[in-house]
Amino acid sequence: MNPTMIAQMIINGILIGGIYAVISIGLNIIFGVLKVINFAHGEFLMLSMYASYWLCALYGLNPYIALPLTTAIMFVFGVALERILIKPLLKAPPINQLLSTAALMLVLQNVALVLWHADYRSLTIKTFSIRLGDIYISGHRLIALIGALATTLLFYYFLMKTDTGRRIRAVAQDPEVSSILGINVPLIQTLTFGLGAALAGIAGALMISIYFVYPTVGTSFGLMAWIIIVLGGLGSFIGAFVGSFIIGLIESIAATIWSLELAKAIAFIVFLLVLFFKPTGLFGEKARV
Amino acid sequence: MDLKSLKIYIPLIAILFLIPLIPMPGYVMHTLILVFLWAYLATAWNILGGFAGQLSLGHAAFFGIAAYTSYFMLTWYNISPWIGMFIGGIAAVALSIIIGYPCFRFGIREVYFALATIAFAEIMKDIFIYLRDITGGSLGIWLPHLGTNPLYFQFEEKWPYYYVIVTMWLVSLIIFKGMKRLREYLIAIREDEDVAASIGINITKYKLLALAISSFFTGLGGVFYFQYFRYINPHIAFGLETSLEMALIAIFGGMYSLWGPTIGSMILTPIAEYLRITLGGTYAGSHLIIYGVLLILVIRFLPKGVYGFYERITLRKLTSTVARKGE
Amino acid sequence: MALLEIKNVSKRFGGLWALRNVSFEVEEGEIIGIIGPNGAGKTTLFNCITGFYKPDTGRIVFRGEDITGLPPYAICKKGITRTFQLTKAFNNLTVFDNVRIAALTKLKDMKEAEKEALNILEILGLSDKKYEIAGNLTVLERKRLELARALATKPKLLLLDEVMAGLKPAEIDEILEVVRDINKRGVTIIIVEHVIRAIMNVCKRVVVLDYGKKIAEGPSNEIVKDPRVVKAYLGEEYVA
Repeated sequence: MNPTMIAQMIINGILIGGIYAVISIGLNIIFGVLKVINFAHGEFLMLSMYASYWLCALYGLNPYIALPLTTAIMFVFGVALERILIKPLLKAPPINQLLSTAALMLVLQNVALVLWHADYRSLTIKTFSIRLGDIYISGHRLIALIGALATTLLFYYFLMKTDTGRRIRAVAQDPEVSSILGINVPLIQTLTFGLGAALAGIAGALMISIYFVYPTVGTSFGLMAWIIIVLGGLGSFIGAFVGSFIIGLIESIAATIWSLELAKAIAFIVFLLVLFFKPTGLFGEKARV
Repeated sequence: MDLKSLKIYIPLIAILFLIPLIPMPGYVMHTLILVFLWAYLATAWNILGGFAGQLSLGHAAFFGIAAYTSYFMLTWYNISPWIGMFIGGIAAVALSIIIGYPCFRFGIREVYFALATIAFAEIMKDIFIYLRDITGGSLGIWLPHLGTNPLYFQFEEKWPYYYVIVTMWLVSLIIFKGMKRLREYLIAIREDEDVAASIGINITKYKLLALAISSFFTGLGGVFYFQYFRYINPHIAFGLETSLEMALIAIFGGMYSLWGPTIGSMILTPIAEYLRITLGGTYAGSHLIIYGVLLILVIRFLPKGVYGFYERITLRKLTSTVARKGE
Repeated sequence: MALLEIKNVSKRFGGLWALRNVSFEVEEGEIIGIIGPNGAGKTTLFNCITGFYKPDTGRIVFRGEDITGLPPYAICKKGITRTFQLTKAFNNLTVFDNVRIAALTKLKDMKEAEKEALNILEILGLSDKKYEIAGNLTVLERKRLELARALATKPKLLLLDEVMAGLKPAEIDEILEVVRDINKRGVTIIIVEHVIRAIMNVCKRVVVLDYGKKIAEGPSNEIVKDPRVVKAYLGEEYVA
């Protein structure tokens, strides 16, 4: 394998890692604050991609211009979902949460199937590449990476430096104490879930120019997101970020050497190894359950 | 099994076996076959899920590996699927030990166990897609067409399949009903592992046993599925949807009894088939919307499932082997 | 030969030694007490004996056989059963089922186990509660259930972990009666307790732990007056 291939492989890994990062950070913050196993996160991504698609296909918008709108739609969706479905689940045993959100996953996937059929859709967008010597970087993937990094930085800043962000972190650390300190915990929970969905919304808006959208497009991303946050350490922001790139690289390397399917299988094997030998993940503390 | 229950069961079983004599449209017989198939699969799943309390969401791995194994036995060695079924079952058991032993040994429980089983099933799926030269990849495989060949488990008519699946369902229920001591130990493990260990129950051994039994029977079901539908692909064989359906039907019907999963299938499967028939192929999967919503409602409001609810409203006296949750 | 020999058992968690070179012996047929302030390592010791923890050093020998590090179910099969400090039970099953399943692990036969369970419930005074759901019992009843369950496994050695905790004085007397009764049936008993009165009443011999080490051992009436023991309990009331 020559250096060009290796470089290409690594770059592809980083590019996909960026996308995983935006998805995983959203999932991670939901788990960190609400302690809820959200198995339907991949479907938020799917819905966001459809939202992007329809906004652009029907109104001729550019997906990047429509990104704020897509994100807002997903935020509202997340908030509504939290109030209706998730709030009652907060007190339930984790396995019930898993089953309920897995059921939600089935529902969302198949509603999408009924509404928009199984056709693979994509926007007619001009693709472009940037060339560095013999290496080609897909333009839209690069935009997605930049978007992902920007989003991560902004979100990090939001969590660390703003009042609301601090409140979110407080609730993630200890809901009871936060409540005593006067933080409106249910509101923060709703807000966080909405933010998690919104982050998936951003990811979807970025991805519509790269991937086809179809009802089950979200499932594998959703599963990967779970692998990533377990690998990174449940609840750890850094863990989710770093884990995304690790998985992205593993996938890219494995896909280049063997095939994409094996790449996914290897990611799952890594997940299992982490589960058996270090369930707290790379950056996590106490394992839950 | 006492005389009074025999008086109820024998006529019911007789009716079951006489049903194919009634003239009925093909889709009705098809629905009946599916009702018993999913009842059978959900019951098998429930040995691990409901009785031992280990909720596996990757059970399709056993379903799929048995189906493909039986296919290879047929196409490579000309072994009849009747025998291939049992070889497939053994393959499923072997796989279950590979999955189960590390999990139980490392004390992987509850949510982490569910995630691990999902991971295993996905790995199987990805491997089988990758090995497309042998397995046909995503396109799947078709059973070689043998017409009506009873020795090779193929029939042009539907009714023989009905008898096979009803027999499988019945025999498995009889076997499970007879495993009284095992069921008690599994219930103990489910209720409190520490207490169960402190009274002398070998947790790892019995969990593995439950898994092996569950996977064996699931495997047989997988072969039946393939023989009946004559087509399978890695998404059906190992997919999350298939695994979730098995679990869902059992939980909806009632995880805490032997009959619950059957009740679940009797309610849900006809709904699914009705939707499939009226809405057509473009809406394949629409039944899952209903299944999903029902599961969410059941988890929230009827944790013991439909059967548990029925027990509650008829105030039946607890028999020793049925546990109540959340009273 | 002593029934149980604890030889130099130590257990650490991270940097903290919960048990440090603890050694003592338990003779067949006796009731021996283990006392010590909170955090002294009493429950850790029980967990080591019963296989819930593996000791980092030392041996545990039961009836001449080294049982160190065996898993909990194996320990039970060898003849040692424990109760739990915070009572545990199969909360969603009936009292009868709780005891019956325990009996089943020893007797293997369903009918025999049912008979045995009914017997034991009689002894423990739980017969009229047998179809009650275990989770609905009062604290005292739950303690009785723990004892019933333990008895059903036909132990040679019974480890009681703070079985008096949370009971009123009259209830303590009741349980003490049951404990004496179990002992008369030939079961050796080790009691971990805080309630000194209980220890005085029923144990001839007492082992005292403090910060994971054994600081004293001897007849109960002497031990309680031992200055080292009083010092360890500094600030605690002695309830005569």
